[in-house]
Amino acid sequence: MTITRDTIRKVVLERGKAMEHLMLILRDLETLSGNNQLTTKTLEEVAEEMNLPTSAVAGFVGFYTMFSYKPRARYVIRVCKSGPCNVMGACTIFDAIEKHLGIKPGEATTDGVFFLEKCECLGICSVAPAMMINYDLHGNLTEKKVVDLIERYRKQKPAVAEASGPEVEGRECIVKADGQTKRLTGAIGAIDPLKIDSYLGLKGYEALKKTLKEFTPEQVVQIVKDSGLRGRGGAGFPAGLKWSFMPKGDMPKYTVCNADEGEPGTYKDRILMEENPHQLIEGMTIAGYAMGSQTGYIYVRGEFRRAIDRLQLAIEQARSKGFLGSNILGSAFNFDIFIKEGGGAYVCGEESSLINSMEGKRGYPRFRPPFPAGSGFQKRPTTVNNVETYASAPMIILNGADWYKSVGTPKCTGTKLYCLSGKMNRTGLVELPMGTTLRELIEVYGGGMKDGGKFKFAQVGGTAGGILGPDLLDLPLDIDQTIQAGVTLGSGVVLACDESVCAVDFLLNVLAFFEHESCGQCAPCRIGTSQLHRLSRRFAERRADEGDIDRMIGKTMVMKKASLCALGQSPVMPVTTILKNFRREFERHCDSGHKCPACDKTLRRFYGTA
Amino acid sequence: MSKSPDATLVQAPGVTLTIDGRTVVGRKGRTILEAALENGIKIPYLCYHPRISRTGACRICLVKVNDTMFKTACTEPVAENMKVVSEDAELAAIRKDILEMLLSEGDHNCLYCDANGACELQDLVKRYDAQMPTGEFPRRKREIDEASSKGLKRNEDRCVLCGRCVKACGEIQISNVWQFTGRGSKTHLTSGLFEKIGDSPCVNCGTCSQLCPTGAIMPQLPLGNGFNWELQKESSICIYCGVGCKIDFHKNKEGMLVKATGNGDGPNEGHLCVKGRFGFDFMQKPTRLISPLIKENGEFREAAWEEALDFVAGKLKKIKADSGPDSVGALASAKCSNEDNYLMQKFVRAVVGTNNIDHCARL
Amino acid sequence: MTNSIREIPDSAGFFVIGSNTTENHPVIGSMIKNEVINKGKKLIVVDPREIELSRYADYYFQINPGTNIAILNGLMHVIVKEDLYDKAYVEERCEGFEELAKTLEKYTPEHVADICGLKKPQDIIDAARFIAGLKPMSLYYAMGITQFVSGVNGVKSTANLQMLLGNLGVAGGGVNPLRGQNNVQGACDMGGLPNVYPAYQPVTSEDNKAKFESAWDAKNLSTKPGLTLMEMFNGAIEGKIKALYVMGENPVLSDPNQHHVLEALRSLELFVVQDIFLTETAREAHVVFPSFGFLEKSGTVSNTERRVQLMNKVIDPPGQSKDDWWIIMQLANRLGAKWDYSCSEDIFNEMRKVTPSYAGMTYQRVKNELIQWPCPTPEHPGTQFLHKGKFSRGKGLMTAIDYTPPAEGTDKEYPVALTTGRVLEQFHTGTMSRNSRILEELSPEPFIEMSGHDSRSYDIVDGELISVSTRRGSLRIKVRVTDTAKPGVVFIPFHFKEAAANVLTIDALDPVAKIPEYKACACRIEKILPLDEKGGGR
Repeated sequence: MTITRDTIRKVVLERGKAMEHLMLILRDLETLSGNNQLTTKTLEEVAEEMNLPTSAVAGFVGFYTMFSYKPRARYVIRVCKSGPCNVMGACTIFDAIEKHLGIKPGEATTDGVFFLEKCECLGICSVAPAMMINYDLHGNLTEKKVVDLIERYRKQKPAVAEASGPEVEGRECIVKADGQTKRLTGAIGAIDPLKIDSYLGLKGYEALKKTLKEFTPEQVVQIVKDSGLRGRGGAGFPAGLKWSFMPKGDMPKYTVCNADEGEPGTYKDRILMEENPHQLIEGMTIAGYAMGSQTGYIYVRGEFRRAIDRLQLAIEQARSKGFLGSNILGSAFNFDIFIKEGGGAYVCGEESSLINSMEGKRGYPRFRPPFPAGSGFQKRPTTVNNVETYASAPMIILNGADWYKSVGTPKCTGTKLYCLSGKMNRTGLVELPMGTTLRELIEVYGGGMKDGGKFKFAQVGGTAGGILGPDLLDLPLDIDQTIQAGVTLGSGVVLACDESVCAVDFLLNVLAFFEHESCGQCAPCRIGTSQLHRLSRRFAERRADEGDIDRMIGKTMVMKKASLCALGQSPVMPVTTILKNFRREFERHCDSGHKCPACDKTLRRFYGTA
Repeated sequence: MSKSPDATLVQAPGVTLTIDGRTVVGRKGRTILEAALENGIKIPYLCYHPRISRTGACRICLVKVNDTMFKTACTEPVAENMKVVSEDAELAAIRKDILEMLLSEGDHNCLYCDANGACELQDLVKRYDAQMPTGEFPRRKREIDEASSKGLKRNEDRCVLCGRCVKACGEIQISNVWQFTGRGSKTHLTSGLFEKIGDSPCVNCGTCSQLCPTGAIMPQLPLGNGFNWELQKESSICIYCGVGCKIDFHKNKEGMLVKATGNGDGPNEGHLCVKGRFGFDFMQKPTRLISPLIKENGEFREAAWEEALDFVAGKLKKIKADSGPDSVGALASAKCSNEDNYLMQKFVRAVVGTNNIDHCARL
Repeated sequence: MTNSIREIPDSAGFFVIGSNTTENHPVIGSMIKNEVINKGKKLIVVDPREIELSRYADYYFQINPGTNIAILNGLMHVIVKEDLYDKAYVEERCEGFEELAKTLEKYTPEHVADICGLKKPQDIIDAARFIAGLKPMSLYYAMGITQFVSGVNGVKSTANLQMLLGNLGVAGGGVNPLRGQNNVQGACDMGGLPNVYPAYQPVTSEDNKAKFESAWDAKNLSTKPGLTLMEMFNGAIEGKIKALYVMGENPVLSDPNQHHVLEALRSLELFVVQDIFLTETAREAHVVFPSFGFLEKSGTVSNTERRVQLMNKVIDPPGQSKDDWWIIMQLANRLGAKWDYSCSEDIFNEMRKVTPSYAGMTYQRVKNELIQWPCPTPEHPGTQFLHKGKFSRGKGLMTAIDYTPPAEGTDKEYPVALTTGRVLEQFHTGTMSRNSRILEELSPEPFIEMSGHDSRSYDIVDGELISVSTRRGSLRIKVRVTDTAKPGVVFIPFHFKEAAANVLTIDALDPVAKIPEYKACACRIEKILPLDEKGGGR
């Protein structure tokens, strides 16, 4: 349908006129458009209704890949090409769609039903390769399955469990293997995520009750400090210490949950939100109490429809039971939580980009100082933590700091959610004490390498993580020991690759990702990611000379020193570690006569060359 | 009552730090770059400009702080006892690398560029001996729009995406015409909603062109042209409305006016409107009056000054004698100087002997 | 302006009335926008046209032309009635409150909404409460207050409001008229007015007469106030004024009722014009003197905030043209004076001796310092805002003022209100801006601005050529249909000689300031029918 001025007025009225609501307003309108397009006329009228400059809307729409002001189609098929999906054969899926529908990425079928896009991580990496049709996620794709799905959509949008979301339930993405230390995931499967009573039946909101009854905010901060809980988003900053940075006083303060889980290979936060939303809500409420904050926001990536829907339902239930709102459980504490959505931008996982995005702006990271604790969302004090971090708070309160740190390593306490993907017999989420080794993860929980293949390397920590060769199989994967070994735990991703994976092809995919996801604000990252991508392509094309290896390393070093945020500093780790491990393989790719079917396939698929 | 920001800054307490071993005093709340510039230390930069908020995007002003950290001088506040290294071999190498990245991203050919000789990128390329890109990194074609707007020309191949134009329009002119769109290496500027400048809500104040460090946004030239290094500049006060903007006027070797830029010392703080920016070429129109004229039989003829002045003086004398001084009137001018107006009213009052003096104050 | 441009960041809110700031004083307009849009400051806009600033306003009142006093009284009515005014300030620093309060009684929101053509009287109440909470609030106005027969009263009303709210004599407050020309302030300061010497020293005072006779070495200075511009034109038609010397003005285009002006100029025995172009006015002259343009001369100008700045010579003057002061000196000396100024600085140094508010200024100081008058001594730093601590006259005088309608109301014959003004890219009569290539290209032609509502009722489309007439004259002009215009009100910019708005305007004057009522008269809109439809031309 065409979007009328009245529709726009209605949506703006419903969502709110302030700039911070731009994302949801545009998402609503795009959905209503029926062809996944926000025309320039629509955008102009939105700007007028919201009293925004048209350029602000243009800048916004141009930043978030989920939006398009150019025509698309009734269904947008987004096929993931990030690390895990690439390793598991994303190229084949593109081939199948092109063969079946006759469209390449960026094209629509002539009947206006399907539009194909390539996209980065969809967050269901344990069932790679994956794709998203409008907001439905489909995994474990094969050529046949893709064709079947497309034909089903052509007839009628198939019903999934709720309005939209992954066809695979979160609980099914948890590795069924004994020996795990199930704390965060303990209740998953037992709890009905749609019913608060189910959560209440399993000590739900007991921690909040205890907090409000027994502890001052300072005591809560101290307990969390004592527990040794460190941020689970990647940087590993001590959570209690972070909370203590929030200024005292009555000013508005924001407790923000970073649920923009965009690191390829990571899907733990999605599962926590889909399967046990109240655990997060309770954790954030405790954190809000500890920091004297009145408002919480969960910034969920736009692709996670089911998580958003279930969180929204859970928030409403919590409000109706008095766990959120004014005078919570009869105390003087007021706290409420609202959901913000992402629009398809990896960089918004960076906390200051996330804050800009929450404000309805382009997701540009901010320079520091000021730090968010001093000037964050709407220039007010703000603390941003990951889903896994907040979700840990209730159990720490209920069981005490000592209990929490009874597992893990001395400086990295508690359990870690490891996300297994790639060439293993079993992929999925496992919860184990901090410091579990790569070998144990692959051999015990991953069930060994897929089809008896030989382990070549694993990328740990996501696309920004390092490459671990066989020499590091016994490295305990916690925050500090990985850093000492020159790699990173990041968000806990383990992407295992066997001998069938070409290191050059793998790095090309990694660097294509960074170019695509760089926000473009600072020069070293904007240009550096592009040049690194280009250089790695020279290897894949077997046109590189050996000096290009050092040039790549040189670029990453400049980017590390000079970039504004962590994204520009990220390529250094995968580039240097892969070159350290596989320099010979790169040197072989400098020979124009070298045969490499993996590179050939990628080049043909994504670069139009062979 | 709040003080104006300048007042608070003037009163801000001093902060002592060292830059390259030199002890300097900065002001609390200000940045390393500002402290350095105030003390004559030339840390290079592209995205910084004193009239706009901090950006931190070009990363050229990267300095070493306390031996351990790299920080952008334009965003890092000064701190007591801070030790700053603003230039060493490592920093110079980083700057050179970034400059070469910027060169490879665009098409920076000074030969064709209006900014040649007045380009901050060019200055830095010289200073750090940055080399021409080899062509291995193909550049993305970007927008060139030299005709859609009467006031501005845009060539994004010369853009370094520093964002000064975005902030010039968003923080000085407040028309918010410019914004970045796209992302990563595909980031580019848009005016309005993916429009050409001429179709956007731009009001042609030209402030973006004044702040642009390269030749990416340039003003259209109404009259003369010339090499930047040959232009001469002198300030005056705008002739249009009563704000009294201070303007630097630039003229070429031939004495023709080329362009106008806002002067930061005036009440306008460097800003101009379309009239101040572009409304000066009337001064050098061939239709300017160049000789006294006397009307005879309904037609003007040129006359020498002596003749014209004598004629008017004679007539005035006669009218004053015949009909009294109150039969003479004069209009002073809101377009003339205080001195001209003072003298005109003195002439009317002291020489003619009447108070019949007025001007168009009411219009 | 009582206050300064650099105080704009100090204001908590802005009350803009009768000023299309972003088009006529764009640099100040941007500064206000910056505060409002980027820093969340508050804004109230009162204007018959939906000008750009109205988009960012917390309250916007689209009043009928000429009803400023009514809306101001309406706001003050609520402020007094609800006890929202600054009592301590009014008591301590002002007088005349009782009379004012009494007059305000009848300006109920309903009554005012009726006069001003506003739909929601409640908005007046809400806005009054709102502005009472803005401390300090600065008030800006321009010709949309003054160019009425009630112009002086309009100005006094703005002062009433600011005194009532305690916003006069404080940084970030004030009553701030935005002067429309670069040195209109200076021309007034210098005594370019019929009733005062420099620094507003009345000509009627014997003391002043003696002072200036001594300073100027002159005899028998007149103590009789002279004629204003409009009175001089009337005088010319009546034969009382026989010679007129015009420096740098173009009254043929800028003054109301053009036919009348031309008749006046053509009645003169001697008409001398000194200008840089052969303007519409110069064409009527007997003698034309070519003078320097602003970039060819040095001298000082005084801006709207009383700041005195130096102009420098940038380029060489063309041909035989001369500096304005030189031409005046030549004439004076031919009439018996013995003036011997060698440069503008000589004149400035004489001027400051007789101009107390400029006495402390020198070229050197003006070049290096930010100086605003009054600056009485060489040590004085100048005055950032007026009325600090106490008013110049002692107590601030509140004046009870009643609303009076414009001289010419709309009626059956002339049913539409016409208001005039400027556009961003043009200036005044266009002598400068229309001779500037880019400005002329940006805004090349006259137009009449009309609301969509009116265009439909007259069956007129955007771009159509129509006829507009008033009791003074008529012209043909292209229509621009826009949301800016209020139904029943049309707007014509006065820059364009090819459709000179001042053919239409009325020469009714404010009784005190003699300012013409450019901002309101009654007109008639007619479609121009093709010849065959008229039944003629076959």
